[in-house]
Order: sequence, then structure tokens, then C-alpha cells
Amino acid sequence: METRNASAVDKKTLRLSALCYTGTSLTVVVLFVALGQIVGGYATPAVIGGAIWSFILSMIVTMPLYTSYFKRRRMG
Amino acid sequence: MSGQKTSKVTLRVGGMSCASCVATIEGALSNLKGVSKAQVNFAAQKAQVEYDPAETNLEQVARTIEDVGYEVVPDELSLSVFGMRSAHCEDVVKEGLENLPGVVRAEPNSSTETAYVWYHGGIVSPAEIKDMIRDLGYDVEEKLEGGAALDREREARQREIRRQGLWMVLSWSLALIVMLGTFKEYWILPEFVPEFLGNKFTLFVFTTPVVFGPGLQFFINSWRGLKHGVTDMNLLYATGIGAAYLIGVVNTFWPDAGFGGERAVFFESAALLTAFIVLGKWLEALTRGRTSDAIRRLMALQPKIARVIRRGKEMELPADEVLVDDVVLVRPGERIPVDGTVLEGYSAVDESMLTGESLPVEKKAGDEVIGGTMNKTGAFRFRATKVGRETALAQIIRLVEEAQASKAPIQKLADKVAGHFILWVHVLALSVFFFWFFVGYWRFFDPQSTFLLTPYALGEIGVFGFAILISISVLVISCPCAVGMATPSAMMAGTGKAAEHGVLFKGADAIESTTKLNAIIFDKTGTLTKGEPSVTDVMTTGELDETEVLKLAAIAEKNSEHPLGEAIIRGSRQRGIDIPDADRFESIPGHGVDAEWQRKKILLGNRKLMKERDVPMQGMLAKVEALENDGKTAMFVATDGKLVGIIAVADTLKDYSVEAVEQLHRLGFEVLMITGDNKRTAEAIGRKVKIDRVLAEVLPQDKAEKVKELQAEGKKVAMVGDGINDAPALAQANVGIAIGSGTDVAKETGHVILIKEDLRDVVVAMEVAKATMRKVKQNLFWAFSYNVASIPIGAGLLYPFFKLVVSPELAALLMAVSSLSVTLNTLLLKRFAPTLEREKALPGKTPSLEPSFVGHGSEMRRR
Repeated sequence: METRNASAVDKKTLRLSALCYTGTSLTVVVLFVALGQIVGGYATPAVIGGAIWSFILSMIVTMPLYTSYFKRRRMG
Repeated sequence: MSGQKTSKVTLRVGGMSCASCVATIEGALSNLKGVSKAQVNFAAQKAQVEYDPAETNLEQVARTIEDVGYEVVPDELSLSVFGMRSAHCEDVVKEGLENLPGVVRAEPNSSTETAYVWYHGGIVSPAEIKDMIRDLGYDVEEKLEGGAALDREREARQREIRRQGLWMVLSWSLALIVMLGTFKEYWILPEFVPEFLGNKFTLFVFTTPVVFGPGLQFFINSWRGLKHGVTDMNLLYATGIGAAYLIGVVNTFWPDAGFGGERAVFFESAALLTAFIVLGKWLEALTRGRTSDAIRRLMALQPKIARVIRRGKEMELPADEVLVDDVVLVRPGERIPVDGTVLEGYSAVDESMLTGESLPVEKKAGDEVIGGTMNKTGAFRFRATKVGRETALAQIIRLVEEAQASKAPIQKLADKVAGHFILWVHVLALSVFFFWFFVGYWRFFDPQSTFLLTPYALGEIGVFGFAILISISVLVISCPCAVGMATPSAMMAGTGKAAEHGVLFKGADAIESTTKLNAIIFDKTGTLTKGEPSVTDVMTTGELDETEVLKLAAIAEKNSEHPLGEAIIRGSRQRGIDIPDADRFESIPGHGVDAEWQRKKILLGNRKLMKERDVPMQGMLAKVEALENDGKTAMFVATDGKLVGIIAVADTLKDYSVEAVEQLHRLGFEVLMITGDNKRTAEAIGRKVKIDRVLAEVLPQDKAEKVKELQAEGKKVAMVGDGINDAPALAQANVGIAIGSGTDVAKETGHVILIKEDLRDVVVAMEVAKATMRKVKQNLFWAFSYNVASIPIGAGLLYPFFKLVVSPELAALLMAVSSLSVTLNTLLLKRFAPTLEREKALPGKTPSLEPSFVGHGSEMRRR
């Protein structure tokens, strides 16, 4: 049975997609903070709160995209 | 290959007939790169393959087997899945299962709470499949049948209603307190709301049980979905409730953190958001079950107890323990437990619940009885012929269930849209947040601005609080629940409504296809006519008398199963004619028969046969034409190459045939008739029934071709005929309608099955399909309109002009209302009545659809 092998390959796929969606979300956070600096006049807690919210939403958007992309690549 | 990891898989292979197939498959697999071993077992119909997953995969192995002409047969599993609420839940389950190695296809359905899974048993087991579904957050078990399924379904539904009801009571009672505390300074509330209720810590104490009690289900379900890379509506709720609650907690315990301070405590948003969403879930649980009333009513027809005679003793036992060949006793007023054949006794049975047949049907020895029908007047004994899953009732339930579990093309489109929607809603929420944070707040914010429909001023809410509030409202208000429910709820109600009238749609796509038809072809013999022709005229050339002519024809037709042949046999026997066996018999389809008796060659058939065999017909042609103009079928009888006579046979039209065709014309259909009869006869019948176009002299094997020709003209064609004999034509048609299937629906070809012989049911099928699709379109219109209108408002479009913003709790209310309105609109379909039913219901009015040839007589109808 390929269960053990499939499990190992699945873990690699999940790790890879985790790396990608976390990286993308952190990029959005960096963009948010950078914009905050450029526009100026924001209290630090507001920027921190906004960065956290942007990170959460970006993770929710990118997690299924990268996960299904890498799974499809593995199957193909 | 040493040192490399190999995978081993066992697949079921179909289509193998001998050992050479084994060699073919093994050879093909051995040539596939990456395969180290392939062993095919012919007896077990299985192939065991070892391969390197780095070089090949299961799909390529399966494709290799298919490329050499065999089939990789997956196993099938039927599951009951509880907790699926929408099309998106279906996507979650489908994607989770299809990502499981070994699963070929999964078809979940939230409306019927089922999932059909096709999988390779050699790779994944049913237990692993069920674990995967549980992991995604749903309850699952193997699908039960019959009464056990009904009980289980009812229990599960009651449990869900009780659970959501409990959460609703808890969330609303606490949320109202939180609301009173938050708005205690407004209106008349200062008069009676105590001061402490407005304290932020008090609000925290009352809100926390709401979020972690009734609200916890959304967080758990979201996490489970995200773990498998899928998003669903629980995520929308969880992010909205979670964000509002967390900000409230931060501003309560760390007011100087800079997130808006004590005045930006959103506990009432979190509490009311939860309360409204749970209210929506409770209402959905209450109304969901009602759309599958048809199956519930059918299942309730099954009696629990049967009275059986075994080893000479009468005993009562559960109906599902009755065996084939058991002798079953039925008394007046009891429901018949299983299908069977009457042995002794006499009664009248009400079959209306199952077949829609309005008059009780007389039953005597030799007659068939159907399980689930009601015995009215007498007692009788019958031998059980079909029990359990084989009974007519079980077949009908299965058909309706399968139809309700299927998806129409329009639903697949709506599901696809709803599926991608969740992702785009989050993208929108992020974009909206960015906009209001960096641009909108500085340009438009006014401390005096209020939430829509409340006097609650936003006050000194900071940029972060303002932007996240609008972002949360977008998440909640955009929920596409209504879009996901619009089609399946209407389809379930429609298939159920049709089943009440003895019309069974085999799938939701059959309903959708039925509404696109513009032409209907009726087969003649057995469909438009009763299929029991009788001899009307016997004419001779003078060489032989009528009796001799009829006798020769009967000898030739003795082994024939053709309705015309059977009519000649019946006519001969009625005249007391003895019919010996022919020495030789050959049937020539579309022409007639060629037989021999006592060295006499007999030909019986149509003009084509006589022409081919050079039999002169001129002397009788005028008489034949006269008969045909009268709608009769004339058959030539010839012996030893000479015409000796003509036999005319006529079939009667079925009851209501004329009226059914009239109704179809009223609905805008072109009505055609197809028959093997000669043109003259066919046109005579066609005139009587007011057919638009007659397709005559069509050989049985050419009927499907004729349907294809009509389709090539651009028509969408329905074919109405016998579900077995006309199977190819029914399969070719856009919608095949099998009429008069009786109780054995399982073996019928066709997309729609009519249990009764009544042609008016064709009209009923058209009307119900139209009403159902109309409901689907209404639902989709309202669902999409809600989203199109609400999203810009939720995103703050009104704010720059009116200084009004939608609060998260108002967004939840609007979302719940949109789902509820779709469900309520669907329930209106229960009030729909086809034309026939409406006319019957009018007081003192005889339905305009009067029978054509058969008079009404006694109360009971004889079969």
C-alpha cells in the first residue's frame, strides 16, 4: 500500500504550501506597514492591529490557493 | 530499482473475459515506466501493481489499463453525512475526499445529507473515507435504507433543531442583555436599565459565553476546513465574530493600547452577530426537512408489521423480515407490506398514494398487489414476490432520492459561482480595509455618523476600529448561502411534487431538460393506443372462405409476439378456429411473417412483403385503402405466391389521448407520432388525435434515428414510449419519457418515468418541470440580487453621501433574511397544482379531459 509514501509526499506538499502562503501573507503585512509609514500619522497600535488583520485575511485567501495548487502538482 | 521506494495498489478491473486479457493487461502495465511488477488475477478480476511513485502514479496506471480496452472499476460507498448546510459544505467534503489517495470521485449533497463515493478499495478503505469526513467537521455513517433510514433521519433532524434552538435561546437572551447595556443611554432605556449593565466588564462577562458557546461551532468548523485547504461560510462568521470580540477584549482590559479605547468596545457586535447567525441556522434546520416531504411520505407508507403464514401458523413479524414466497395475510383497512401476487380472496385496493390512480382497484387471485397501498374492503392472502429493496415502493423512493441528490446544470453553475465567491469576499474585505484605513477614514469620517437603523454614533472610534468594522460587515453581508440553497431546495420540492402524481424524474437535469423541449413524439402502439388491437374485417379474394383465410394467418402468427399477430390469434380463437403449429416460421421485422404448414407456404404482412415476394395485390388494393383510411391496419394473406385475403386489425386509442395532445398544444409543443404502420393508417389515427406530424413506416430499429433527425433540425425532443421496447429512442431523445412502467420502475430506460398509463401525466410532467425551474430562477434572482445590492452597501458605499454604515449585526440579519426568503419561496411550490388537479378540484365541474373511447361505469376499475 502506498499509504506511508503518500503520507510523506503529502507532508512535503503541505510544508511547501505553508511556506508559500505564510510568505505571501507576510509580504502583505510588510506592504501594509510600508504604506502606513508613507501615508504617516498612524498610532503604532493602529498599524499593529491593521497588520494583524491583513495577515489573517491574507492567510485565509492564500492558504486554499497554494494548498490546492501544490496538491494538483503532486497528483499531476 | 533497488533502494527505491515502491507503492503497491490493488485495482478492480472490468471487461476481462479470458486469460489472454490477463496477458494483455500485464504486458501493458509492465511497459509503463515506473512499474516494477504487475499481476492480474482473472478469477478475482483484480490487478495488483507495484510502482515507483517518483516515476508514475495511480492515474497513469489506471489510464494504461483503460488504453488497452479494459475498465478500472471503483468500489462505491453510500454515506449519510450530517452537518452539511450549503453548496460550499459540499465543496469542502468533495475536495477533502477527492484529495484522499484512492478516491476517484465524490458526490456529496447537502439537501439530502448524502455522499456517494467511488474509490479503489485496494488503496483506501471506507473507514478512512469516513474518518476524513469526520475530520472535516461532519458526522457520517453508512447510508441506511427504508424505515431505519427514516427513523435515523428524523432523529438527526430533531437533534439538530433542538441543538440550534438551545443555542438560539442562550445567544439571544445574553445578546439582548448586552444590547440593552450598550444602548442604555438612548431612548427610554435609561429609565429601567441599571447602570452596571453598561460597564465594559459586565458586557465582557455576558458576551464571552455567547462567543464560546453557540459561536464556537463556527471556529471549529473553520479550522477543520482550513486544515484541508478549503474555505467555507463558517470562516466568514468566525472572522467577523472573532475580530469584534477580540477588539472588545483588548479595549476593555488594555484601553490605552491605542485600538480606540473604552468607547470602541464591540461586544454588542460579537453577541448580536452570533445570535443572528444562530437564528438563521435554527430556521434553516426547521425548514430544511420540509422540502424532502415526498420521501418522508413515501417511506411512511411502509407498514411496520406484516401478518405471515409460516409452517401452517399465522404470525406477526416486522415487515422487513418478510421473505420472498411467504404467504401474507391482509385484512380490511390494513396497508399491504410487500409486493406480491394474490392467492385467494377478493378486495379493492387504494393505490393512489403510490401511483396517483384515483379509483380503488379490484384485486382477485392472480392479480398483483403493491407494498404500501391500502387494502379497503376485503381480506385476501398473497404470495410475496418482491421484498426489501426490490419492492416498487423501495424502487420509487430510491429513484426520488437519487433525483434529489443529482445536480442540474444550472445548479452546477451556481455552485461554481458560490464556491469561488468566499475567496473573493475575503479579498474584498482586505481591499475595503486597506481603503478605509489609508484613504476613506481621513476623507470621509464624521464622529456624528451612525450605524444604519440605529442611533448609535460612531463617536471617537479610531481609524483601525472604523476600517475593521466595515471589513467585518463586508465578510458577513456577502455570505452566498442563499445562492447555494436556491436550486437544490426548489429541485427537491419539484421532484417531490411530481412523485405525488406518479411522475418520477430521474435527475435534476431531467427537470431542466424538460423545460427546454419544443417537440414531443409519441410512439403509437401501446402508448397512444392501448396496444391490444382486434380483428375488425376479414376479406377474401374468393379462393378460400373467411375462416380458412383467418386460420392460415393464425397458423403463421402462432409463434409471434407482435400485437397484430396476437390480435389474429385472439380473433381466431373467438371464432372457434383450431390453430395447429406451423412447420416453419420466420419473422421479418417491419414486413411480416413467412411460414409453412402442410407444405403450404404462407405469407402474412404488409405491401412491402408482398412486393418483395412478387405477390400480385392489385385486386384488393382499393379495399385495403378504404380500410386504412378508416385507421385500420390491413394485412395481406398469401399462400404459395397468390393473394387469398386481407385481414384488418384496429387498436383503440387510450383514454384521454386526444385531451392530452390538446393540452400539449396549449403549452406550445409540436406533437408527433411515430409508428411502423403504413402511412395511410398512421395518418388516419393522427387525424383523430390531432397530431401535427406523423412519422409512419418506421422500422423499430430506426426509431432512434428518426429522433436524431428531428434533433438535427434544431428541435429539443421528448420521446414518449415503452421504457423497455423503445429504449434506444428514449435514450436518444433529449428527454425520454417511459409511460406505464407500472411498479417495476428500476428497469425502465428514460429520463422521466410515468407510473400510470395515463397520457395526461405527460402534461403533468411538463407543468411541474416548468413550475420548478421557474422557482429555481426566482430563487437565484433574489439570492444574487441580495448579494449585488448588499455588498457595496456593506463596503461603505453609502457612507461618503449619507454618513451611514452597516453594523455587523445588521449584516447578519440581512444575510439570515435572504436565506430564509429563498426557503420560504420554495415552500410555495407545495401549493402548485397541475391543470388536471385544479380542474378536478373545482366544485361540480367535470374535468375537461374526458376519456376518448372508454365509458365510465362502476366505481371500481377493472384491470
